[in-house]
Amino acid sequence: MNDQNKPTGPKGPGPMQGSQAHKRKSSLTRETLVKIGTQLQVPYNEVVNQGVPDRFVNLVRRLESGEIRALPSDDSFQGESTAPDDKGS
Amino acid sequence: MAPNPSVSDAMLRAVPSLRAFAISLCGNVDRADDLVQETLLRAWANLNSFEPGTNMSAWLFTILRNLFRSEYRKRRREVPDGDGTYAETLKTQPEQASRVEFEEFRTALAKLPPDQREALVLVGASGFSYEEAASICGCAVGTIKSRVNRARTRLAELMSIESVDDFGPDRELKAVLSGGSGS
Repeated sequence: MNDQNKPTGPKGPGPMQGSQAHKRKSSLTRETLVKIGTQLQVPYNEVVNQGVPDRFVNLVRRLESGEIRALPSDDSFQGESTAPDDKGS
Repeated sequence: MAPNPSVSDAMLRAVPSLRAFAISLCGNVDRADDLVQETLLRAWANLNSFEPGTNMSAWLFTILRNLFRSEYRKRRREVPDGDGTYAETLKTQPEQASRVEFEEFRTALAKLPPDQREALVLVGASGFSYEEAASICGCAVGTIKSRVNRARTRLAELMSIESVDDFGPDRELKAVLSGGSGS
Protein backbone atom coordinates (compact mmCIF):
# COMPACT_ATOMS: atom_id res chain seq x y z
CA MET A 1 0.00 0.00 0.00
CA ASN A 2 2.06 2.93 1.16
CA ASP A 3 5.02 0.72 1.74
CA GLN A 4 7.77 2.45 -0.14
CA ASN A 5 10.36 -0.21 0.32
CA LYS A 6 8.59 -2.81 -1.67
CA PRO A 7 8.04 -2.55 -5.34
CA THR A 8 4.43 -3.49 -5.21
CA GLY A 9 3.67 -2.34 -8.70
CA PRO A 10 0.31 -1.39 -10.06
CA LYS A 11 -1.23 -4.77 -9.29
CA GLY A 12 -0.51 -4.31 -5.60
CA PRO A 13 -0.80 -6.94 -2.95
CA GLY A 14 -4.11 -8.62 -2.39
CA PRO A 15 -6.17 -6.85 0.22
CA MET A 16 -6.04 -9.96 2.39
CA GLN A 17 -2.37 -9.80 3.00
CA GLY A 18 -2.27 -6.78 5.23
CA SER A 19 -5.27 -7.62 7.33
CA GLN A 20 -4.28 -11.23 7.81
CA ALA A 21 -0.82 -10.31 8.91
CA HIS A 22 -2.34 -7.90 11.36
CA LYS A 23 -4.79 -10.39 12.76
CA ARG A 24 -2.21 -13.08 13.26
CA LYS A 25 -0.19 -10.93 15.61
CA SER A 26 -2.86 -10.93 18.27
CA SER A 27 -4.00 -14.51 18.08
CA LEU A 28 -2.01 -16.86 20.21
CA THR A 29 -2.28 -20.58 20.19
CA ARG A 30 -3.97 -22.40 22.99
CA GLU A 31 -0.62 -23.89 23.91
CA THR A 32 0.91 -20.47 24.35
CA LEU A 33 -1.97 -19.29 26.49
CA VAL A 34 -1.66 -22.33 28.71
CA LYS A 35 2.06 -21.80 29.03
CA ILE A 36 1.68 -18.17 30.01
CA GLY A 37 -1.07 -19.09 32.44
CA THR A 38 1.09 -21.70 34.09
CA GLN A 39 4.06 -19.39 34.36
CA LEU A 40 1.85 -16.82 36.03
CA GLN A 41 0.07 -19.17 38.34
CA VAL A 42 2.87 -21.31 39.68
CA PRO A 43 4.78 -18.56 41.51
CA TYR A 44 1.55 -16.79 42.41
CA ASN A 45 0.13 -19.89 44.01
CA GLU A 46 3.36 -20.52 45.77
CA VAL A 47 2.91 -17.23 47.60
CA VAL A 48 -0.75 -17.99 48.21
CA ASN A 49 0.20 -21.33 49.71
CA GLN A 50 2.40 -19.60 52.24
CA GLY A 51 -0.86 -18.79 53.98
CA VAL A 52 -1.36 -15.84 56.30
CA PRO A 53 1.84 -14.65 57.97
CA ASP A 54 1.52 -14.02 61.72
CA ARG A 55 2.12 -10.37 61.12
CA PHE A 56 -1.29 -10.01 59.52
CA VAL A 57 -3.14 -12.20 61.98
CA ASN A 58 -1.77 -10.03 64.78
CA LEU A 59 -2.65 -6.87 62.93
CA VAL A 60 -6.26 -7.87 62.44
CA ARG A 61 -6.59 -9.08 66.02
CA ARG A 62 -5.27 -5.78 67.29
CA LEU A 63 -7.66 -3.89 65.08
CA GLU A 64 -10.49 -6.01 66.38
CA SER A 65 -9.59 -5.38 69.97
CA GLY A 66 -9.28 -1.67 69.33
CA GLU A 67 -5.67 -1.76 70.39
CA ILE A 68 -4.76 0.07 67.22
CA ARG A 69 -6.96 2.40 65.33
CA ALA A 70 -7.07 2.37 61.61
CA LEU A 71 -6.36 5.46 59.60
CA PRO A 72 -9.22 7.44 58.23
CA SER A 73 -9.87 7.30 54.57
CA ASP A 74 -7.71 9.36 52.28
CA ASP A 75 -7.17 9.97 48.63
CA SER A 76 -6.01 6.48 47.93
CA PHE A 77 -9.30 4.98 48.92
CA GLN A 78 -11.44 3.59 46.19
CA GLY A 79 -14.09 6.29 46.36
CA GLU A 80 -11.87 8.64 44.49
CA SER A 81 -11.01 7.33 41.13
CA THR A 82 -7.27 7.33 40.94
CA ALA A 83 -7.38 8.01 37.28
CA PRO A 84 -6.46 4.75 35.73
CA ASP A 85 -4.16 5.86 33.03
CA ASP A 86 -5.45 4.86 29.71
CA LYS A 87 -2.50 5.96 27.75
CA GLY A 88 -1.71 2.42 26.78
CA SER A 89 -5.17 1.57 25.59
CA MET B 1 -19.01 -0.32 65.95
CA ALA B 2 -16.83 -3.33 66.15
CA PRO B 3 -17.09 -5.22 62.87
CA ASN B 4 -18.35 -8.70 63.24
CA PRO B 5 -15.81 -11.50 63.29
CA SER B 6 -16.77 -12.81 59.90
CA VAL B 7 -15.52 -9.57 58.38
CA SER B 8 -12.08 -9.86 59.88
CA ASP B 9 -11.97 -13.52 58.95
CA ALA B 10 -12.85 -12.64 55.39
CA MET B 11 -10.08 -10.08 55.39
CA LEU B 12 -7.57 -12.61 56.64
CA ARG B 13 -8.71 -15.15 54.09
CA ALA B 14 -7.90 -12.67 51.36
CA VAL B 15 -4.39 -12.03 52.65
CA PRO B 16 -2.55 -14.82 50.81
CA SER B 17 -3.87 -13.74 47.45
CA LEU B 18 -3.39 -10.06 48.27
CA ARG B 19 0.25 -10.77 49.03
CA ALA B 20 0.74 -12.60 45.77
CA PHE B 21 -0.85 -9.74 43.88
CA ALA B 22 1.19 -7.15 45.77
CA ILE B 23 4.40 -9.02 45.04
CA SER B 24 3.55 -9.13 41.38
CA LEU B 25 3.05 -5.36 41.45
CA CYS B 26 6.13 -4.42 43.48
CA GLY B 27 8.47 -7.26 42.71
CA ASN B 28 9.63 -6.98 46.29
CA VAL B 29 8.30 -9.05 49.15
CA ASP B 30 8.92 -6.62 51.99
CA ARG B 31 7.37 -3.75 50.18
CA ALA B 32 4.48 -5.98 49.17
CA ASP B 33 3.82 -6.95 52.77
CA ASP B 34 3.84 -3.30 53.80
CA LEU B 35 1.35 -2.65 51.05
CA VAL B 36 -0.89 -5.44 52.30
CA GLN B 37 -0.70 -4.06 55.83
CA GLU B 38 -1.61 -0.60 54.62
CA THR B 39 -4.48 -2.11 52.68
CA LEU B 40 -5.87 -3.87 55.73
CA LEU B 41 -5.65 -0.68 57.80
CA ARG B 42 -7.34 1.30 55.09
CA ALA B 43 -10.02 -1.30 54.64
CA TRP B 44 -10.70 -1.44 58.34
CA ALA B 45 -11.13 2.31 58.52
CA ASN B 46 -13.54 2.19 55.63
CA LEU B 47 -15.53 -0.90 56.43
CA ASN B 48 -18.72 1.12 56.32
CA SER B 49 -18.27 1.45 52.57
CA PHE B 50 -18.02 -2.27 52.11
CA GLU B 51 -21.29 -3.76 51.05
CA PRO B 52 -21.90 -6.98 52.93
CA GLY B 53 -22.50 -9.83 50.58
CA THR B 54 -20.23 -8.46 47.89
CA ASN B 55 -16.80 -9.76 47.13
CA MET B 56 -14.51 -8.83 50.02
CA SER B 57 -11.49 -10.01 48.12
CA ALA B 58 -12.20 -7.78 45.11
CA TRP B 59 -12.79 -4.85 47.43
CA LEU B 60 -9.43 -5.35 49.14
CA PHE B 61 -7.69 -5.77 45.80
CA THR B 62 -9.15 -2.43 44.72
CA ILE B 63 -7.78 -0.71 47.78
CA LEU B 64 -4.39 -2.33 47.41
CA ARG B 65 -4.17 -1.47 43.77
CA ASN B 66 -5.08 2.16 44.41
CA LEU B 67 -2.62 2.44 47.26
CA PHE B 68 0.07 1.06 45.04
CA ARG B 69 -0.85 3.47 42.30
CA SER B 70 -0.75 6.51 44.53
CA GLU B 71 2.52 5.45 46.06
CA TYR B 72 3.85 4.80 42.61
CA ARG B 73 2.89 8.25 41.48
CA LYS B 74 4.33 9.87 44.57
CA ARG B 75 7.64 8.16 44.29
CA ARG B 76 7.75 8.41 40.55
CA ARG B 77 9.54 5.19 40.65
CA GLU B 78 9.56 2.56 38.00
CA VAL B 79 8.50 -0.84 39.13
CA PRO B 80 11.75 -2.62 39.80
CA ASP B 81 12.29 -5.86 38.06
CA GLY B 82 12.64 -7.50 41.43
CA ASP B 83 16.13 -8.65 40.77
CA GLY B 84 15.56 -12.01 42.32
CA THR B 85 13.39 -10.83 45.17
CA TYR B 86 10.35 -12.56 43.81
CA ALA B 87 12.25 -15.75 43.32
CA GLU B 88 13.71 -15.50 46.81
CA THR B 89 10.31 -15.76 48.36
CA LEU B 90 9.71 -19.03 46.63
CA LYS B 91 10.95 -22.04 48.44
CA THR B 92 10.83 -24.27 45.46
CA GLN B 93 11.10 -23.59 41.84
CA PRO B 94 8.19 -24.44 39.60
CA GLU B 95 8.35 -28.00 38.48
CA GLN B 96 6.76 -27.52 35.11
CA ALA B 97 9.15 -24.89 34.03
CA SER B 98 12.87 -24.91 34.01
CA ARG B 99 14.69 -22.36 36.07
CA VAL B 100 15.79 -20.53 32.96
CA GLU B 101 12.28 -20.35 31.64
CA PHE B 102 11.05 -19.09 34.97
CA GLU B 103 13.62 -16.31 35.09
CA GLU B 104 12.90 -15.47 31.51
CA PHE B 105 9.24 -15.15 32.28
CA ARG B 106 9.82 -12.92 35.27
CA THR B 107 12.00 -10.65 33.25
CA ALA B 108 9.44 -10.49 30.50
CA LEU B 109 6.64 -9.79 32.95
CA ALA B 110 8.62 -6.94 34.46
CA LYS B 111 8.94 -5.37 31.04
CA LEU B 112 5.21 -5.02 30.59
CA PRO B 113 3.58 -1.67 31.24
CA PRO B 114 2.02 -1.69 34.75
CA ASP B 115 -1.50 -1.49 33.34
CA GLN B 116 -1.02 -4.62 31.34
CA ARG B 117 0.79 -6.48 34.04
CA GLU B 118 -1.86 -5.90 36.67
CA ALA B 119 -4.65 -6.83 34.28
CA LEU B 120 -2.90 -10.03 33.31
CA VAL B 121 -2.19 -11.02 36.91
CA LEU B 122 -5.74 -10.29 38.05
CA VAL B 123 -7.27 -12.36 35.28
CA GLY B 124 -4.58 -14.94 34.71
CA ALA B 125 -3.40 -15.64 38.24
CA SER B 126 -5.82 -14.21 40.79
CA GLY B 127 -8.70 -15.72 38.89
CA PHE B 128 -10.92 -12.66 38.69
CA SER B 129 -13.38 -12.33 35.86
CA TYR B 130 -12.84 -9.58 33.32
CA GLU B 131 -15.70 -7.70 34.97
CA GLU B 132 -14.17 -7.95 38.43
CA ALA B 133 -10.75 -6.96 37.14
CA ALA B 134 -12.31 -3.95 35.40
CA SER B 135 -13.97 -2.89 38.61
CA ILE B 136 -10.72 -3.31 40.55
CA CYS B 137 -8.81 -1.22 38.05
CA GLY B 138 -11.57 1.30 37.58
CA CYS B 139 -11.80 0.90 33.84
CA ALA B 140 -14.05 -0.60 31.21
CA VAL B 141 -14.24 -4.34 30.66
CA GLY B 142 -13.09 -3.88 27.09
CA THR B 143 -10.02 -2.06 28.33
CA ILE B 144 -9.11 -4.96 30.59
CA LYS B 145 -9.61 -7.43 27.79
CA SER B 146 -7.37 -5.50 25.48
CA ARG B 147 -4.71 -5.05 28.16
CA VAL B 148 -4.71 -8.76 28.89
CA ASN B 149 -4.47 -9.52 25.20
CA ARG B 150 -1.63 -7.16 24.63
CA ALA B 151 0.15 -8.46 27.72
CA ARG B 152 -0.10 -12.05 26.49
CA THR B 153 1.03 -11.18 23.01
CA ARG B 154 3.96 -9.20 24.31
CA LEU B 155 4.97 -11.95 26.72
CA ALA B 156 4.84 -14.49 23.96
CA GLU B 157 7.08 -12.30 21.87
CA LEU B 158 9.50 -11.57 24.68
CA MET B 159 9.79 -15.21 25.60
CA SER B 160 9.78 -16.35 22.03
CA ILE B 161 7.14 -18.86 22.97
CA GLU B 162 5.50 -18.08 19.76
CA SER B 163 7.89 -16.46 17.45
CA VAL B 164 6.18 -14.57 14.71
CA ASP B 165 8.88 -15.87 12.45
CA ASP B 166 7.68 -19.40 13.00
CA PHE B 167 4.47 -18.62 11.29
CA GLY B 168 5.07 -15.42 9.44
CA PRO B 169 6.86 -16.51 6.32
CA ASP B 170 4.59 -19.44 5.81
CA ARG B 171 1.44 -17.40 6.15
CA GLU B 172 2.83 -14.62 4.11
CA LEU B 173 3.89 -17.02 1.44
CA LYS B 174 0.39 -18.39 1.29
CA ALA B 175 -1.03 -14.92 1.07
CA VAL B 176 1.36 -14.08 -1.71
CA LEU B 177 0.58 -17.26 -3.54
CA SER B 178 -3.14 -16.83 -3.33
CA GLY B 179 -3.08 -13.09 -3.80
CA GLY B 180 -0.51 -13.16 -6.56
CA SER B 181 -1.93 -16.01 -8.56
CA GLY B 182 -4.24 -13.73 -10.42
CA SER B 183 -1.59 -11.34 -11.57
